[in-house]
Amino acid sequence: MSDYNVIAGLKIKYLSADPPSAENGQVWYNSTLGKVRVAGVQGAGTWASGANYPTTLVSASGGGNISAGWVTGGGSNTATFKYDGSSWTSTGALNTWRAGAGSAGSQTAGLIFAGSTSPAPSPSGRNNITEEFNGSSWSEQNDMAQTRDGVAGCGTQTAALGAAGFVSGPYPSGSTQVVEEYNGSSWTTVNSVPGSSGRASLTAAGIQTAALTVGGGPSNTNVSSEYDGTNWTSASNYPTTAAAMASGGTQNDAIFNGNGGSGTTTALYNGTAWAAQNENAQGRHATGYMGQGAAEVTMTGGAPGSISATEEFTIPVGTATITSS
Amino acid sequence: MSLFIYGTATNTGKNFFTRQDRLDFFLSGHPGNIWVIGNNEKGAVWLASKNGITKTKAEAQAIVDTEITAEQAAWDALPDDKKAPSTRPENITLP
Repeated sequence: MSDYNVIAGLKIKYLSADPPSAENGQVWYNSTLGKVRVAGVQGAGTWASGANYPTTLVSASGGGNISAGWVTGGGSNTATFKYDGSSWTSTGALNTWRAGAGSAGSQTAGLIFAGSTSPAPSPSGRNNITEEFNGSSWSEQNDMAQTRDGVAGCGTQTAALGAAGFVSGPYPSGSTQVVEEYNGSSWTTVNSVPGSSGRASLTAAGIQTAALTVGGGPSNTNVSSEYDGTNWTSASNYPTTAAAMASGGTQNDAIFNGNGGSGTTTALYNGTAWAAQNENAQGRHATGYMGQGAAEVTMTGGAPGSISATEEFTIPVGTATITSS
Repeated sequence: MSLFIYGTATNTGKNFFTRQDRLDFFLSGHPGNIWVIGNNEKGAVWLASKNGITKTKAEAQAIVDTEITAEQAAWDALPDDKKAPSTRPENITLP
């Protein structure tokens, strides 16, 4: 029998049964079957309805993943709800209500920053306030340097990225390309998102040292950019112009949805190119979404109007036995 | 035979439509609880199972238009600094 440790140079888990929700590429030894097993993608991703959010909402923020996430804010809401893949549960409210805020992190270590709080506390209606979520309550932290809304967010509570947004003036003017990094304590301004104009309502996925950003306005673009923690480089263009989308996954395995209007475009980025996926049912933008980790995303609410409908995107992962023949 | 069935149905949340439904028939949701459904047996069964009410295409379009017009008016009435980051609702032409 082949020795996987020798072949691949990696140790694998010794399990009595296949794991119930294996990730794409995960390998393990099934002691019951006496076989080395692997999980792999089977077919294109597809959307299904999720539990409706308890209220209608638009321009909300979210974090975590499709089976352990949170959504908060939107409109003038401070309410926060956690999602387990089946139902929403109320938890601690934000200290400062906001819409169009950036967000990052997990269900037990979340982060929200900036957003629109018109008319208070700033005359422009935008803020730079940061709050951290510990799974049950929110606490205010050090502010971002730049007051803004329509800001993209990704990463973790201790290593987050806040990119671009609206900073001044009436919609859709007054956008910025300024990017800041959060280290769990304070914000530092870093290299700006590339482009000839602001990138408000840009959408991001990934982590602070390996992020992917797509679209943004004021004139929506299909420009995609990769960030390595220091520098920005261009990536393949998203299939359509877009802003205020939903996203999930990592820089090299990311899912993005929407076009900034009623579009249902869904595309998977593999680090090189975009591949079309099955489109979602209810076209929308400015949703609250949860997509940390895998190329999966749950989005809820959004516009046009203000809705409570939820949709979940997953890519089927099957299991197979590794053989040496 | 037309390509689509048109109807109203209230989205009840989880399992209102499943991954398998999406693979079995076209499904597109619009304002006013309007659903455009692929005109095959599974699509028709799905609408019936959701207590849906079948509409003509013209009836469905009229419901969507009414909803969008109201949403556009609401968006237009917002102060400029509250219009972003959502955008003005677009007119929707049902397939």
